[in-house]
Amino acid sequence: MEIASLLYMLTGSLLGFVAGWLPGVGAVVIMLLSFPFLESASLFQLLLFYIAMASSSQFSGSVVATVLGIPGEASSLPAVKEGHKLFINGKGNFAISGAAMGSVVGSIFSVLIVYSIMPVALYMVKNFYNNMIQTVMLTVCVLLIIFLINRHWVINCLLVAFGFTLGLIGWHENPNFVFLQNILPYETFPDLYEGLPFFPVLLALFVIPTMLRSMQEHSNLDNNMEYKDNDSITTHLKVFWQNKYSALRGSLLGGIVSLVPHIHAVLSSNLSYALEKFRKTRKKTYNSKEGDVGCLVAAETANNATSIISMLPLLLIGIPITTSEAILLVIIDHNFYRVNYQTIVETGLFNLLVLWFLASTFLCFIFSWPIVSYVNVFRKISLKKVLTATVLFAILLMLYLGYSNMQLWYYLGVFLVLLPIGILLKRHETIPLVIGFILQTKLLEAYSTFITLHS
Amino acid sequence: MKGKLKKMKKLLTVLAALAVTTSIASASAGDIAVNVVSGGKPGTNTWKASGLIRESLDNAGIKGELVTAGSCHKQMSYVGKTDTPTIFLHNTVNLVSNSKKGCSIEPTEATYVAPIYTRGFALCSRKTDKSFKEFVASVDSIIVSTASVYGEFMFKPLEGITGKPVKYVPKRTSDAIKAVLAGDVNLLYSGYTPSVAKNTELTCWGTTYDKEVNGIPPLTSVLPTWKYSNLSLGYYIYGDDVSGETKQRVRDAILKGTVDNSKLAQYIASASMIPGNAYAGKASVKDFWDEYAAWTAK
Repeated sequence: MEIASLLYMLTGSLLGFVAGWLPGVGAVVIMLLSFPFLESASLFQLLLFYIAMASSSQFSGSVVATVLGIPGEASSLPAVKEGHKLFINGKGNFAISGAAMGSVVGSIFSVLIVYSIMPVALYMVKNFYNNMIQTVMLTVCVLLIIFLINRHWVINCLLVAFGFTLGLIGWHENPNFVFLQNILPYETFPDLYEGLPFFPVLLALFVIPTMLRSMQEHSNLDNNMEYKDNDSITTHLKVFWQNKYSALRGSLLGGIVSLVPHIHAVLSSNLSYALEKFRKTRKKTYNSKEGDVGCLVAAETANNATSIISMLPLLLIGIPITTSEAILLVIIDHNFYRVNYQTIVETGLFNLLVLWFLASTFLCFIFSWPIVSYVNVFRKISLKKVLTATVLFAILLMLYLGYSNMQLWYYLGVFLVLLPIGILLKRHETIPLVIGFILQTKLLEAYSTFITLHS
Repeated sequence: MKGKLKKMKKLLTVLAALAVTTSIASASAGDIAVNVVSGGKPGTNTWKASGLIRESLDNAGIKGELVTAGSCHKQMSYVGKTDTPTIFLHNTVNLVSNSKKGCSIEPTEATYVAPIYTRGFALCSRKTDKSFKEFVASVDSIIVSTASVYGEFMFKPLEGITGKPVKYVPKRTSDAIKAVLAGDVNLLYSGYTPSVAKNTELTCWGTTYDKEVNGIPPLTSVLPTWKYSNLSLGYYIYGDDVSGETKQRVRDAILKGTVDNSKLAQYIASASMIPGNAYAGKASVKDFWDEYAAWTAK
């Protein structure tokens, strides 16, 4: 039993780690690929595999974001901003160790939060989906993003509005309508009914503008891209200790937004990053030139702080809040298991799950810092070449995703239409645009329900 | 040496002949390929059922792939491109919902392969010890959450029946369950799926089955005058380029799969659905259109 569980934990961690490296290959893809392998698993092994996979992708996402400057996960956008800047300026080792230690702190914090709320967890989870709470939380998140990133709130407002409008394209359940049905060419391109795919939008409007800016800003750098770590563990610990309050703030914020469906990791890391950056800018301690370890630590701590907490709706009331959790639930149903408070908490299965989760966290920590020098496969390649290769790789990945989703031409079309806009926006921070796009469905549904309930 | 070579040649000829005979024999035993396409995205009930249909075909020796299209348009695009006979799960509600997105798949005698199961619907609330009458008396208005495909017109008659104003909040099933648990809405109308059936935080007042299911009475005994109290949803298999013997074999495999020991049969039983095998002799395309008329009648 223990050896089999170990195997599931190791496989989950390994696959999650790989998923974190590859943009577009997220938990959904891993769950689909693992379906046959999971058919004979026990309920505990299924949950263990999933939680190890989901957690480890958050660890590795920051490594690839720091070294290559591409977001393996959408929650790694802050690591692209700060981590990659630190890496280019020869401080990549502190970015890597800060993100890894922050991720561990976030994971442990999420366990502490879960145990502290366990007596009322069932009540809290049920009531968290109250429309008023969701509406207020989502509105506050958007406002924070608008007002905290770069202080250009008018531009941020326009970017959020643009992202929101792009998200509106397609058919919607609540309210039930098709956006600009008589204007957009839905009949010619019926894929539009499903809305714009996330990865081409992210690539055209965030990754490429960020890369172009990076090329301009660092064009005179003689950079061999080698990951070096000549500092002692004590120095790393000291640097992390200097940012301990950033880690705590990130953990707290991550814990709060953990239950927001579908986007908790993305939202927590970006929001935490925006808040930390705002705070440091005000205090004039933000290192905009070389990259800021504190901002990175806050973001990385926040996304890992969501790990266990975000699974509570599934574990306690059997309701998935992400697509990958929905697939997990299908496998659980397929194997005729039940997930609810009685089968998970009262049987003691949850305690066991937490112990194994901590073991998985430790394993991921080792791979994302102490032995992370494997990233040196990229050494001695010029920055320009790395950035160009990264963009090409990301485009190939996008085409592959489009092909596997039976929408190759649609993905390519959306990317090509949005690319000129992305190039025009290269001087701006486009995180608000991405957040507007991601939050659109939730915001629209929350406001629509609010109006119905209070009319 | 020459003798040995001759012997070798003979041996090889015999082996080749044997291989050809075996492959012809197996082909004549009915080596057909039929693909299953899921119009639902990964994680949805349609996707799950499509996987189980594929498994039933495999058990019957019918080869093929499971393709996850994820939408009606992609499903039809795939069907249009492939030369392999293809089947997929379909029902009247899918037709209503997909028509809004410009994709109508209307069945005919030629495309109708077999009924697979009939799913009942449930009317539920947040867990309570009250009776339905007590529940109605305790609320100011009835706020019902359901998928947008079940139009608001279905719930308006409840105003007359209960004497309370009715509000309608369309949501996906999992979001509708969250809304009822969070107290935003006080009534959930949904297919009686495993996620509803297994949810210990819900009290279901009735289902549209004509018998008691898991201790839940028929909805006709709770809301006898509501026109939709006994309306269930028939799922059937739609086939493209599936005819003759292939159609018969697929039909037999599916109908057997709904009642044997396969996972499809267990899935049907776990949600208390009626297996297609129980009414296959009486089912036809006409039932589809009758049901369509019932679901869309205002």
